[in-house]
Amino acid sequence: MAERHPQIVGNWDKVGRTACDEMYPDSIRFQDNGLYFGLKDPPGTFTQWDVGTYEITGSERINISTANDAIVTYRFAISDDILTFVDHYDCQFRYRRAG
Amino acid sequence: MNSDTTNLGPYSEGALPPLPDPVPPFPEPSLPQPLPQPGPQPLPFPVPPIHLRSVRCGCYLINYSPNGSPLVRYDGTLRVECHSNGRTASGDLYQRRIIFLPPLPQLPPGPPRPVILPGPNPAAGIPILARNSYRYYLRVTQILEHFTVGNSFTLGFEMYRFAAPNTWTNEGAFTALMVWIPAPAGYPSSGDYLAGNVKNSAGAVVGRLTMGWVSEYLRKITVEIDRVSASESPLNNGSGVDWKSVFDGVGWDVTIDESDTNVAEPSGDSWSDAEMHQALLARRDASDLDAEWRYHVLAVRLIDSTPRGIMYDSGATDSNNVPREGVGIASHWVIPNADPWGLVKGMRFGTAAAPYFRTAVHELGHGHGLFHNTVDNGFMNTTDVIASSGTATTPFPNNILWSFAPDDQKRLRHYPDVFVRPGGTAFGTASTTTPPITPTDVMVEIDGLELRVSPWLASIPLGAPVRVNVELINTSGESMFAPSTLGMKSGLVRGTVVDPSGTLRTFAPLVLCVEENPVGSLDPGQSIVDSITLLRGGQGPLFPSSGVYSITVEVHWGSGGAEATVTGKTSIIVTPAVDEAHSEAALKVLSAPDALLTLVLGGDHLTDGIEAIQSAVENPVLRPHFAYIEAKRLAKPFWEREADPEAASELIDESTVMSPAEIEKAARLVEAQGADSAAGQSIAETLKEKVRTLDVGDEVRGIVDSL
Repeated sequence: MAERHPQIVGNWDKVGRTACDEMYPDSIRFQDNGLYFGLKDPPGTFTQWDVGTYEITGSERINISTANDAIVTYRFAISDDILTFVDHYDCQFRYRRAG
Repeated sequence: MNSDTTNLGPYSEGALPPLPDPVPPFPEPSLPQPLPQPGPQPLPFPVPPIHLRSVRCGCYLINYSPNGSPLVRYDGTLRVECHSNGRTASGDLYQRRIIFLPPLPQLPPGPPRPVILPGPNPAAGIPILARNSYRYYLRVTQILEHFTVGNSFTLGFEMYRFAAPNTWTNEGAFTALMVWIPAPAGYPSSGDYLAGNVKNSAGAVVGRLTMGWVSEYLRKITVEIDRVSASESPLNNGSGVDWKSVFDGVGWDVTIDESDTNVAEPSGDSWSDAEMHQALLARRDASDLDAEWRYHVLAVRLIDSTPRGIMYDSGATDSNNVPREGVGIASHWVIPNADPWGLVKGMRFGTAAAPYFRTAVHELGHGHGLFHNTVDNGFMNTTDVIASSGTATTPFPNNILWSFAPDDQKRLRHYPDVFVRPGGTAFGTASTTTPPITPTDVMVEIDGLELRVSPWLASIPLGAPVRVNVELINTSGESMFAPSTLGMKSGLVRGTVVDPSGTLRTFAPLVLCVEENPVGSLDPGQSIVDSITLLRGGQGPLFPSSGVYSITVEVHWGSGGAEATVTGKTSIIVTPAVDEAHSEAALKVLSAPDALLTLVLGGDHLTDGIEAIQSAVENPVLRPHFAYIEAKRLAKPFWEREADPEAASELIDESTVMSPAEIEKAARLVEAQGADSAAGQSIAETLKEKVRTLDVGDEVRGIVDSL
C-alpha cells in the first residue's frame, strides 16, 4: 500500500449536491487499512464509490477502486475538515468530516 | 397493454413505486378427512383418488394475449423458485413480432397484410427473445405456495411496462385463475400446463394467460472463456466449486465455452479496457445476444486499470454501446507477499485457483448487473475486504464464501431480464425498487405482539459490547403463536445497527442451537424476555466509533405458511476513548474478528479473540464490560483444561456489567458447579447484590436468591 494520509481516515458526509456528483456516495468512510466504504441514500442505490481500496499516490492524487473494479485517479485536498475531490470530468464535490 | 385502459388500475409514470405491502397468505385448502376403513358394509359411493397439485419449480414459457388486440401477443418466462416457505415467482414479457405479407393481387391493390409470427418453441426450453421486444416485468404477488387438491389457483401479479433506456410504469395489478389443462404438443411436461383469463383490479377480463413448464432452471446463459496463451482459464476454485455449481446455486443453466487459448497480446505489457473490448468483438464465437445470453471472460496477463479483474464493458469503454457483455481477469498480477493475503501471499494470481476463480465469478456478477455487496464474504464482496477479514484461524482465501449473498441470489433469480442479460440496461441501473422486485414470501407483521428493545446501558465506552434487552409481549386479548426464546442462538433474531454517519450494518446469529419447539403459545399479557450482546456483524465491528447508534432488532418465525415478524428499536451512545490505553485496547477488540466468536463459543482455541478480550479486561475502562465474558470462558472446562471457578470469581465483582440473561446464566453455572465452594459463594454474593439494585425481573431474581 502507498503512503497513508491520516487526515483522510474517518467518516465523511457529502456537502451540497450537483448533477455531476450524483454518482458519488452521500457518505464515505476511509479506513486506515486502505479500504473505503461508500453509502448512498436510500441504501442500495448505485454509487461509483461503493466499496474498495484507496491509495494516496501524491500530495493531491488518490487512486480509488470503483464500482466495476476499475481503479481511477482523482485529485483531492483536505482543508479544515473539508475533503474535496475532482474527477476526470472536472466535477468537484466535497465532504465534511462527520461527528 | 393494448386493451381498454378505463378499467385498468391507477398507474404512475416514472415515479418510484413503493415497496410492496405484505400479502395475506393464500388460503390453503384443508385436506379431506381420512377415508373410512372398509368394513362389512359396502361403500355407498365410489371413492376418487386424492390428487395433490403444486406449481412445479422452474421456468415456464408464458403467453399473454390481451383482449381486443389480435395483432398483439406477448411471450416470455415465469420463473418459479421453490424454497422452504413456498414459492417466489417473477416473469418477463416480450412482444411477438409481426411481419407484413404482400397485398393480395387485386385492383385496386390492397394494403400489406400483417401476420403475427408463431411463439417460441416449448421444446427448445427456456426461450431467449429479442431485447428490443422487451415490454413487461411481472411482479408476482400471489401464487400457490404449497399444494392444492383442486385444479386451479389464483395467480396475482403487477405489470411494469419498460421503456428504454430504463423507465418503468406500473400498469396495475391483475389476477388470473390458472387451471391445469393438458399441454399442447411440444411441452416437456403435459401435467404442468395451465391457462386462465386475466382480470384487472376492477374484475374485468382483459386477456388470456397460458403457462407451460419448460425447464427446471430459471435462466440460461453461455460463458465463453478466451485467454492469451500465458494465462490460465478460470474454471474452478481448486476445491470442487466450478461454474456449474456456482450457477446451479441460483438456478441458472450455464454452458461453458472454453474457446480461444491464443488471443494475441496487444502492444505493451498490459491491456487497456478498449483493447479487451476489441478482443471481445473480434474473438467471441457468437454475438447474437437476441438468441443467446452469452458473456465473455478474457484472461490476460495484466490489465492497465486494475490489478485483478474488471467488468470493462460499461460507460465510455463500451465501444459498441452494448453493455455488460465482457469481463477481464489478470493472471500475472502478483499477490503482495504480506498480510492480509494469508495463504496466497506472494503467489502469481493465475496460480492461486481460489481467488482467481472467485474474481472471475465476481466480475461476471457485475456483468449480470450486480453491485458490490459486503453483507457477507460471498462473490460480490471485494477481494480486498474479504482478505482483510481473514484471521489466524481462517486466513484468506479460506474465508471466502462460495456463494452469492442471499439478496444477490434473489436478484439473479428475479431481476427483470433487461437488468441481468448481456446487452440489456447499462451497469449501474439495476434496482430492486424501480421496478420493485417480486416479494419473497408472505411476510406478515403480527398485530397483538410487541417487541420492546432497550439498552442495558444507555452509553458505553468505545470498544465495549452493547447489551440489549428484548421483550416480546402479547398485547392482545388472545393466546398467540410466538417464539418461546429470543436468544441469538434460536436463529429467530437478527437486526441492523446504523452508526452516526448513517452506515448500516447487520447482525445475525453466528451459532444456531436447534430446539424442538422454538415457538409456542404466549398467553395475553405474557412476555418472553432475553438479552443479546452485540459486538460484530457481517460487515465487521458494529460500533466502530463514538457517537449515537440506532439498533433495530427483528424477530422472525414461521406461522401457518407465512413468515411472521416483529421489530423493535432503540439507541445508544458510544463515548470516545478516554486515554491512549483505552484507545489501544478498544482498537484491539474492534480489529479482532474472533472476539465475537470467543464471546459466543468460549474455549481456548481462538487465540486472537482471547488476546483481544484479555487486553480489554486489563484496561480499567473496558474491564467491567468484558469481565463476565472472560469469566464465563474460564468457568467452563475446555479439552484438557479444567474449569477454573476461582479465576472466574476474581473477575466478577460489583462493577462487572452483566445483562439479566448473563446474571441468570452465571447463577445456573454456580448452581451446577456448586455454590458451596469459596468461588461459588463469592460469585453468588456478587450476583445477589446485583439483583438487589438492578431491575432484572422476578424470574432472574428468584434464581439468584435461591443460590
